[in-house]
Amino acid sequence: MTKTEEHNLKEEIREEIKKSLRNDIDNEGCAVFRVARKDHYSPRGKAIILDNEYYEKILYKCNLCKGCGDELCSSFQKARQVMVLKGNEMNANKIMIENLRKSGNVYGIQE
Amino acid sequence: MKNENHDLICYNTDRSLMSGIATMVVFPSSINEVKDIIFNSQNLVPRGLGENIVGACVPNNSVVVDMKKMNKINFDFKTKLVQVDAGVTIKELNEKLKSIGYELPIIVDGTIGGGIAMNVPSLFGGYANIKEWIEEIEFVNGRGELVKFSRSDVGEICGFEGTTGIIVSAKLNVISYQEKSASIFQSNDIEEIFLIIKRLKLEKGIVMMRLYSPYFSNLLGFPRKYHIVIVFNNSSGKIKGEAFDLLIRKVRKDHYLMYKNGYSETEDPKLLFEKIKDFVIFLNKMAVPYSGDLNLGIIFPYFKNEIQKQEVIKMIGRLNGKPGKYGIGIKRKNRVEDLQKKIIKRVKMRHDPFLKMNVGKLIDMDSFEDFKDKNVGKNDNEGLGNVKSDNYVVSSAKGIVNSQRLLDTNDRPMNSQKTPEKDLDSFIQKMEQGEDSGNVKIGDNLDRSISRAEEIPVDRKLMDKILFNKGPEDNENIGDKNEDNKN
Repeated sequence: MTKTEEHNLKEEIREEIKKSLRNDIDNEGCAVFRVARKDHYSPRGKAIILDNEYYEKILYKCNLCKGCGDELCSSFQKARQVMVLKGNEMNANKIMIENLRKSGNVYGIQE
Repeated sequence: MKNENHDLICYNTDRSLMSGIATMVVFPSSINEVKDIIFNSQNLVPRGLGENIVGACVPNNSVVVDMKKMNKINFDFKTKLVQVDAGVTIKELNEKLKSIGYELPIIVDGTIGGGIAMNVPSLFGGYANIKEWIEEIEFVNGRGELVKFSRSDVGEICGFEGTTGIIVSAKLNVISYQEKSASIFQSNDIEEIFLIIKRLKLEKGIVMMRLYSPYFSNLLGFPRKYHIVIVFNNSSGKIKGEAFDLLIRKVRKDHYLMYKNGYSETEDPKLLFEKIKDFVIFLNKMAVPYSGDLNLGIIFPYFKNEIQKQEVIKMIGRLNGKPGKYGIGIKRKNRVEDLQKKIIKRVKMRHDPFLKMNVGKLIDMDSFEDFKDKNVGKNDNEGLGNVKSDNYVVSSAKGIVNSQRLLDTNDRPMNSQKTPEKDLDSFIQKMEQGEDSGNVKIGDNLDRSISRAEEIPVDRKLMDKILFNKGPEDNENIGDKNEDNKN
């Protein structure tokens, strides 16, 4: 991933977050937040963490379920894109992609 | 408990998006933990969901006390009271209550503790503010002492925005779950709108009357006319079921529509009914879009620029409007009147003499010196600081009042001569022990025009004419009807 691509993606994330924070974020729509009950698991909290570029901190804290509304989801997906393109993805994810390429399924089962 | 930076930054702000600095966040899960935190810390900011827009949860190099881990709910079927911890959200509570056929009809985002601290009004204004539903509050004051307040004394906490202590739990009245319905009335004529409102106020069962200006109505997807969304706590309305839920969701999030269209600032003046019409006419002249809760008497104008906002604020002052919904927090400290400041200071010093709780919100209290007046003796500092906690830890508000009087007798020489300060003090004391004049009781009607309106018989045909919005061709109003009659 080039630095320009990274910079552009980050800018897009920041723009979307700023819009979301001014608009409707349904904190209580987030299933993760309802269980964890801490602000850094809430949609607004995660948006603030993203805005400060702590992408790796929220990677596993969001299901992308859109329970908080439609607007934040795309920012989280872009943040994950940045993480993956920088090589900071889960090992399990790497294995699944490799399996997909080899066998056409994520389990690596040859037909 | 110290947290990493990325967690702390979430606590630096709330929905107001004002920014501060949180030095630490703590998550108490019991009353004893709350007491320990207050006893051992200075500069605390209690926090629920952080849904207020005036900065009431914004820390200033403070320790943030996140109450969401306190989330127990107990319902007593005999008394129809629900004992609920401060960290429970109102939405969660209503989900649990609905499953057993009950509801707390305060529809608002936030926790119970936050809602009580801000004295939030319900979306359905006919159910008034949350204060009217409180039976009892358990509260840890600025000294770290657990205190219970009964219904008549909750004014010392409710609406004080966390500046007197931390609410830990509350006992709330609930009602049987009522399936609601809605209707929408529309008109081009503001006079007609107010005529309808006056008649609707006489009707039982109306729990919300929400007025929208033509521009705002258009944004909501209605025709460009005045609209009143009327919600009934029965099946009288024409909009029911899923359509009703959709309508309420729209109404509940209507302010976001305005934000999206560049109207970033809003106000919430609460006015007497007779003055609402004058205010609305003024807003029309200024081309300021607005909505309004006509049960509570609160109008919400929206602004794109500061000049418009200042003009409207001046008008609000002339009409004697008070903040109706959003609270004071940091943003609106400069709007608190002098008499109100004095009351707030007295209550604060009673419960938080060491200035630990939410300093810098509601009013500024730079030091204890701020409180001294002519009637306070020289030993006043020692009197308050050295009193043993046994004298203060009581289980009822009456005990609090008694021990306060004991303190007065011991530490402040009672001056028998009447002075203007004495008169003011006794007036303030009466106000503190009485009801907050801004709140509307359920069943009460502050509309002084009601005595005139009662002479006008309710027009049943008119009530039947209130149609829901299918499309312009389906909608009638009195104007059309009158024209038909003339013809």
